[in-house]
Amino acid sequence: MAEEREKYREYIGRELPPGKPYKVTAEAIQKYAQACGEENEEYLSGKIAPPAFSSVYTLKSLGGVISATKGLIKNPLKILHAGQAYEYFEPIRPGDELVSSGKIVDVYEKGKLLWVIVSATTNNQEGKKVSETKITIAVRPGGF
Amino acid sequence: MKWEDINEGDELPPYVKGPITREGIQAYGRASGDLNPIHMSEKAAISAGLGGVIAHGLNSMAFVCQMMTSWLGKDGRLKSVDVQFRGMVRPGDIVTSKGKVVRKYEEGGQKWVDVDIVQETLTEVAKGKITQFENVGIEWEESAKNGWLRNGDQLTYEVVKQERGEDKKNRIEFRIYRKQRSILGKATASF
Repeated sequence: MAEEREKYREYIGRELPPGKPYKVTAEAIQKYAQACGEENEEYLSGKIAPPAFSSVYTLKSLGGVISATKGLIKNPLKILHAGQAYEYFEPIRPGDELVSSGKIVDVYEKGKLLWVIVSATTNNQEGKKVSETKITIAVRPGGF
Repeated sequence: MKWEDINEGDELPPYVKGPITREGIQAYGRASGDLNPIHMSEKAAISAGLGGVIAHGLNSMAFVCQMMTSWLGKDGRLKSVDVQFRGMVRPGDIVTSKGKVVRKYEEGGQKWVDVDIVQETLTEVAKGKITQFENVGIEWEESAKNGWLRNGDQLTYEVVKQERGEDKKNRIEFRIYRKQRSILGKATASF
């Protein structure tokens, strides 16, 4: 199936506005671990973040996706979360301060859907990379 | 799990979660910060055309991470996970994550394994009773009113209770589930 990319050229490569630093607490890790069904005591105790905790800080520090795609996505209720990828580098512990920076790496139409691919890198307070994230969203017809 | 003990083709222990509940979905929303009304409000989810609240895809992804970390234990580390969300998870669903080792190798002075991931979701669409032998018949206790059956859906069933009465008839209680894939993906672990 052909991908229509040309008319979205201006969005591709656009940087997201820098997110606010996210301070990791044992309570936030515990709350997330409990809510997501974690069974590992080390994560439930809040000493170290489970891998899936990435979903918390990327969301918190990536408020800019909506503003960076302004004019592109007209109805947020038509957004489907189509995919997500994480690559892990440094462990995350309470007290860490995480800052994510992201950009739109691709935008195209395919199969009646609008696909938007966002990538983000998260660093800790020591400037060390903790994770890389790729978010794939698909917007249903009528949403773009 | 030690790298030496892993072989290509090995299957990870299936990781089963559920039944998913509305309260659980809301708790996930609050803990993760994703308060999108399609997860939190039945009314909003219906008006968005979804038929009811759906669980967060990232919670299903968390189950995949949990399967990986509980399989790896202290010996290995989850290095990356990459998933596509293929189907929606709803209250009542049973979610089973599965993994299969597809590659075991050494690279850059480290030991690695690649795992293919499939996550299957069972949604109860009906339950019923059959009385077998003399009067063969099916009595539907509940129609598929809570189901989201579509063309091409795979159905599976589970026998909940089976007993043979004094009249020598078998009474079988069963549940019918729609089976679909909620996630396809891959993960890599380092040792």
